[in-house]
Amino acid sequence: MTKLMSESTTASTTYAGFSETNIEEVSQGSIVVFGVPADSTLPRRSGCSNGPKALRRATMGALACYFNSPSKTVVSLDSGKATRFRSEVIGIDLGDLADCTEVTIDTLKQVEQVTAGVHEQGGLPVLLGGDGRILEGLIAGLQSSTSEFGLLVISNRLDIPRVNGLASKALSSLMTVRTNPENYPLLVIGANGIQPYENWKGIEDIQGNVISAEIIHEQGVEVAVNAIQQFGLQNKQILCVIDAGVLDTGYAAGTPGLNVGGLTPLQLTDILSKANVASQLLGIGVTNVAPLLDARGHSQYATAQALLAVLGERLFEEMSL
Amino acid sequence: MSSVDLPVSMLSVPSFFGAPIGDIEDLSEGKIAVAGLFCDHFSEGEPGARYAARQLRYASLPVLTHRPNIAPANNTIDVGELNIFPIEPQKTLSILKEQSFRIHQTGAKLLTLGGDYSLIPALVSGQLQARPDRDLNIIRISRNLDAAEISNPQKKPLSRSCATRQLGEHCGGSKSITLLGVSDSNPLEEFEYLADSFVRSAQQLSTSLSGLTAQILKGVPDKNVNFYLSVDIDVLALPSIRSNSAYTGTGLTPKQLTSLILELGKLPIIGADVTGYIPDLDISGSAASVTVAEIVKSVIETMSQESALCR
Repeated sequence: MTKLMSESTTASTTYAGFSETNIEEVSQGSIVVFGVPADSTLPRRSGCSNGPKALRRATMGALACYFNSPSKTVVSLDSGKATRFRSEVIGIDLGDLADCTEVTIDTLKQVEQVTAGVHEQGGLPVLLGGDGRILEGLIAGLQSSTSEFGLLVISNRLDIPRVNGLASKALSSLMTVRTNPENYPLLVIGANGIQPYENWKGIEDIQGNVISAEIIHEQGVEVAVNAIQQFGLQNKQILCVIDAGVLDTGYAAGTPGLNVGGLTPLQLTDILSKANVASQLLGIGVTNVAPLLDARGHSQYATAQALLAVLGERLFEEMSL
Repeated sequence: MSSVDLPVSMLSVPSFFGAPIGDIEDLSEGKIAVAGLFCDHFSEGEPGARYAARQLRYASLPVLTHRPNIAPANNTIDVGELNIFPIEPQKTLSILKEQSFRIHQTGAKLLTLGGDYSLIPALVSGQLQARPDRDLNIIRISRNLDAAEISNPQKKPLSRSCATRQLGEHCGGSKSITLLGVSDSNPLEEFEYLADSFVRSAQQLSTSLSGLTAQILKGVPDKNVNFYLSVDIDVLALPSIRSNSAYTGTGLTPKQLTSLILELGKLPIIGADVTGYIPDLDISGSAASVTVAEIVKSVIETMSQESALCR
């Protein structure tokens, strides 16, 4: 395979302490993380190129309580439950995509190539972004090697804007490759604010489902959990996309866009851990983390914890005390 | 023109809450010596807590807080920064113990601000040496247990991850430790070490503080005991404050934390620290510093109280 990855991760640490190796080592059932440090371009705020590095560091911070335990087990005083980090899980960190500074056609091709390679070898591709538009590469990579999957999008936006001449309407581009374009399995959680009419129309046309942030604030996280669980019953395989922009700006300002009235970090992790879709995951994309825009460093921590919540039983197991 | 009306640049050297700047000769029974700890060099967390004391001095100026009455009781004296050796942990441990011993020998109580929790066992050790006549129990308010096994103390004498266990060893075992505000996820082995300790999670505390001090005292065999209060800002859930632990979204609000600290004033608190705060060194950082300054104020009030219990 063409050499796509840089020599070493740009981060000082690998994701969750996974081994740093190359794509040839990917085996069935392994979790394969790779970073795409592609920055946002105007008119969005820049800074996503630091996302992969920040997510790796934040994940190690979030897992510190497990790594401080010789048995990799933590206890909850409130629930009385013990949870163990599965250190025996095969986890691989491929590092960051080489020569990647912003989203271009070449970048998307590279992401597609890596995603397809990981998936064909039986691994679970986990993309650490990078700007949200790189999802097109992830989606294309999976579509080239598998037929059907549901798309679970945790985002405040209903599309990704067209920039620099890229055909970048990610959600719209999905619909064109679907055999039955009138019924695309799409669930968006956390949409917030004013969205373009054509995006609402497009989602309505494919009978997609949207659970807005406002509904979650009004009715509680259960409404989102139930929707995801229902979505899981209808789709054997799920591609989960976490856009850090879904978080309320007051909690996590480190994203290219601002989101007033978004989800709180607790709501987000609560939804993802309760929904429990880990066994059905076909791939995960985490995007729009721009750590330098958040001096407090909460954006990457909140997003890293959301990713750990999605990985759920693949990384953690409940123990009896 | 009063000093409150002066621009910040025209104020004299800022001290904690405008307290008089003094030296060891100015300390005596009933005084609280407030000292800064410019040291986060042995921390496993994010560096930056060394700047907390400096920021808190500025943030506690009435002109910044718009609160002329923020100054705590007039028994406080700002004794400056404690000496440390940033690249020599063993020497830092010795010098902190010595300084704590000398301050407590005067009869004053020591409150240290800023720095890292890994330094606190050295300060408590000096306190115990100065006041060997009474037992000392530790009340630690933090998200983390920090009770990992002590490994290689010669090579690494200062370590945050085992600081609570070090405190336990100084004070007679894990029974002497009270942990308040712990997070929902802490290592199993550390809970096992603390099986005999009084431990309450942030969630448990946020429902009610009623009867807390009585419950803490119930587990203390000798009622003639003193308490040391250690407050880590990482216990706060407030997302606007940066601390040296990963943000999880669970914890106490500033109001809950100050209420908890004031509730603990029923106990005889003879030493305290506030650690874990990493100030944002910019305009927005001052808002967080003012919040932490309010928390420090509640610690000083608690230390100034005549304890209602344990008489």
